[in-house]
Amino acid sequence: MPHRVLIIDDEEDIRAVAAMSLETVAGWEVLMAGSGAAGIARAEEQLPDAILLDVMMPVMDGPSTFRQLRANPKTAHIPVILLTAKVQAADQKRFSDLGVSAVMFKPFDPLTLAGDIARALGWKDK
Amino acid sequence: MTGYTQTRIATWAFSTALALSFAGVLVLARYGSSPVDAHPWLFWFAAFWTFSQMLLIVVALSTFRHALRQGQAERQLQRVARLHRSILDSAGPVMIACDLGGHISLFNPAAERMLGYRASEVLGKLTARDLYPEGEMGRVGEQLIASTSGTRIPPDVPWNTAEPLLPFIQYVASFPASRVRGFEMRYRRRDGSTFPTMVYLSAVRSGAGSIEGLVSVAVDISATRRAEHALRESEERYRDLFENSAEMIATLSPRGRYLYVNPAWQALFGMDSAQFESLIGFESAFPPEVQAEAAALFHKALHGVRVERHPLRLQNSAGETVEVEASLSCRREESGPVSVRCTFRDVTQQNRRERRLRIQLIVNQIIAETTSMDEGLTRVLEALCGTFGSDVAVLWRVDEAQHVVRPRVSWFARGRSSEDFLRETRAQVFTRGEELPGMVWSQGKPCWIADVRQDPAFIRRNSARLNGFVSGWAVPVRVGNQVIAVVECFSRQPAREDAELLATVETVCGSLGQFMARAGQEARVRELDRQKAIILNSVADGIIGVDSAGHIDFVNSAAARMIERTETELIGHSVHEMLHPSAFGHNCDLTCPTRQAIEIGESTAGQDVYFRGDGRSFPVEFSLMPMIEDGAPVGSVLSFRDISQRYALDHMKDEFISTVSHELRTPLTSIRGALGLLSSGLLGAVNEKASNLLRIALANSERLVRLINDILDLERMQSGRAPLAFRRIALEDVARQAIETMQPMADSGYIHLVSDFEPVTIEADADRLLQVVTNLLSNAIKFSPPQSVVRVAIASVEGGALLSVIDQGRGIPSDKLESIFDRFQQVDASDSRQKGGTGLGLAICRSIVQQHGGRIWAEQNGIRGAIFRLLLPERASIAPTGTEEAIAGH
Repeated sequence: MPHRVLIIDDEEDIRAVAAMSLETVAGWEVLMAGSGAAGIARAEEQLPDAILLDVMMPVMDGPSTFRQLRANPKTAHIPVILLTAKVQAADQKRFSDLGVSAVMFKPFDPLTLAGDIARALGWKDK
Repeated sequence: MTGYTQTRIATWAFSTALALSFAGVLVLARYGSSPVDAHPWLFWFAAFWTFSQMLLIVVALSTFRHALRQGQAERQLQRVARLHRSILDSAGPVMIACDLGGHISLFNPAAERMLGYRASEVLGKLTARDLYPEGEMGRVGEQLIASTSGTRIPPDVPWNTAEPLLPFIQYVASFPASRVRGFEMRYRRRDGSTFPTMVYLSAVRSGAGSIEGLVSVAVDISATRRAEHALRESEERYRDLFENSAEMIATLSPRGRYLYVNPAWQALFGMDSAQFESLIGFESAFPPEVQAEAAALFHKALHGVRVERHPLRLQNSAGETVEVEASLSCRREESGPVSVRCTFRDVTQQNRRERRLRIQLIVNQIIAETTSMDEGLTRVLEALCGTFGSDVAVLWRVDEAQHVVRPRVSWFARGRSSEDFLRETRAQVFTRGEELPGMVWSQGKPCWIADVRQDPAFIRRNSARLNGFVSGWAVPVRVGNQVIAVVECFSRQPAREDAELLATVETVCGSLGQFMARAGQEARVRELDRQKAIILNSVADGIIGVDSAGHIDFVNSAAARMIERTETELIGHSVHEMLHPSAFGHNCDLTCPTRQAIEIGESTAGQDVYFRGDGRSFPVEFSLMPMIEDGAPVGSVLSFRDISQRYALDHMKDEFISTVSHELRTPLTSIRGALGLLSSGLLGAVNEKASNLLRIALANSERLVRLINDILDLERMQSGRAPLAFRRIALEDVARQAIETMQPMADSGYIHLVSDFEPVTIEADADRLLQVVTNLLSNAIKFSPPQSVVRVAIASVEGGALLSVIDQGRGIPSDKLESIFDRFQQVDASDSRQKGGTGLGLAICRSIVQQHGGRIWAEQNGIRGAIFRLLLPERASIAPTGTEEAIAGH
């Protein structure tokens, strides 16, 4: 059973590249949502194994979405990896303080992204 | 027999005779009818009787009439006698009468009073001789006789005159009755004492005119004699004084003729008594310029006004200026003024002394109390003019740089205009030696011009003439041996050179020089202070001067503005209390950086939050510099900057950076991802040309990502907002980790990585240091030929560690050893394309090393390769700025 990963990002191109990378390189099942609200709904509905969450999104940004996911008993257990373009140290600290499983930076290498995620989440198999 | 007795006898005789004659008539009437018959003898007897009685009546009547007339005369005499008596009794003078034998017959009460005898003791008992001192009568008598010698000896001197009285009788007799001259003679009192009198003698003559006695009227002249004596004595004394007096004394007639001049007076004017006597008036002796004044004084005195110590200046016969105090008084009698006494006291020396003292005092006072040099100088000029009677004064300032002397300040007396002269003076600039100021400057000594109108060297002579100036002088003002200014004064009065005046002014100018030097320094100090104040007040940073007790003693305007308190509110108060007021609940513990800084008093810098007057706070960056004087701390200077603006800017910048990184990286992420997937071949085979293009695109997209990362990194680093996390680390761990990271890259280039480590522990941010070493290794590998060695060495040095990355590559030209640390500076312009560098790596390295308080530089490695050296201190000497933390702390 391949891992199911939900990608929440407002950028359609990034969603597409990331999805292709995870599907092609790791053979995972990829779910996608274009906004925080849609992502929460999708997560509730599909209960993915992990969520790749973009930080900077209009309306509801990554941290807010993460907090709602955690507040929701159905999605509270799902590990979340923040995907951010921000590199400032203060931001990193703030993000890891939120309680996310990992913080990964854009631009990512499509060939190593899946491996990084699996390593961060302790997934042994491909 | 008195008239009264005569009248009574006559009355009795008359009445008796009347009765008897009546009886005789009766007898005749009885017997007359028969006179013969009856008794003829009886008739005859009766007739005779009657007749005799009748006769008796006639006699009685005649006696009566005579007696009546005599009574009237006697009463008249008695009245006169009473009058005489009362005159004698009440008269002041001594009145004594004596007969020719010297027996005293009259002794009036004044005589009793003055001689001490009672009249009863004298009359008929004493002689005139007893009333005079022994020998006095003889002495006076001889003088009287002598005085009358040449006059005839009167023939009518009675033969029975007593011897001592003889000369007196003779004297009296030699004058007509009312013309006898008085003479002086001493009387002797009963107690033997004597007193002088003026005696007026008159003779008592019988009806026949022969002398029967003398009356002496004597007036006591003791008082007069005493006064005369005193007068004479004083006259003698005065004469002595006059002759020897240092004061000049002259006595003049009311018409102004000199009657007496003492030697001092003669010496003053250089004339002898005879010359004075030939002058027609008092003022004629004086020099022309003071004649009018002298004449006025004389007339004043003549009209009864006493002239006391009127000051006069005149030239004496030797041409020296003499100052005198003239006192004139007029002696008057009823008939009018008799003489005028004029006394001059020479006060020249005294005045000079006083003047010198006074001017010195005034100048010292002016100098002490004025702060403005020009004001002080003007007042000194005024004082000089006032003291020496000048009308205008100018101070010339020597301009050593320009080799000229220029007018600086001037003063002129009110009244007649000095405008033309001053206008010309102010427009003048003289060179050394030129005109009066230039000459005094060059010669360095005072100069006197008796008549400036006539002096061809005096350029301003025409305007001087126009404004009436006659005499002038100038004196140098020195500091040490250098003439720094010249004071000149001009007067409308002619005046001959006065060495004493010049000497006095030179003394004053000595003080003036000190004053000018001091004022000049003070002006410079004030100017510096002013400049400093301007600088301090124009800087944007707040600057607070703190004394050793931690109290504010200076505040610049920026500080006051930022704290929103006035200077007066701040000065004198505790600086900590002003910046962190406990009133706003700000209770600082020992960690308060400002408090620590002030208490420690060492050079410190940091960030803090200060409070405004209304309790609002603002973030600051402060630095504190201790002030050390003579090795002891005397306070400190706290400067601070409101960084709330910078916070706002930083925030904006952060926003911008995050936006840029997001907005640039979002498309890059897609490009990079897509290219990566395509070139991986996972999506299917791509032909070789396409594959090559994909590789180029991928490499450049990666380079773009690195570039963006490096730019952001460097920006954060240099703005000091990328906080370093210092901790103690083993430097070789970092180096080893870097080698590990770079090993694959080295392997692919066939480069040997060699390590040579000494164990050193330093305080550093391991991640940042790793970034540096990785970067250096990456460069070394990139620029090294295959099979060459890149060596990483760590050596312990004093106070820290030295890390070297040594390669055998192409090396760095010596002119680029330093510039390669600049942004986008590479040894070869093609490197960035060929080697994939961003041109920012070394700039980032240097920035990181500097934040550690260390140093990074490049060297040439012999003939081949380069060495990058990294010197790191054991303890990072620059404290982390940690903006976010510092602010978060408050």
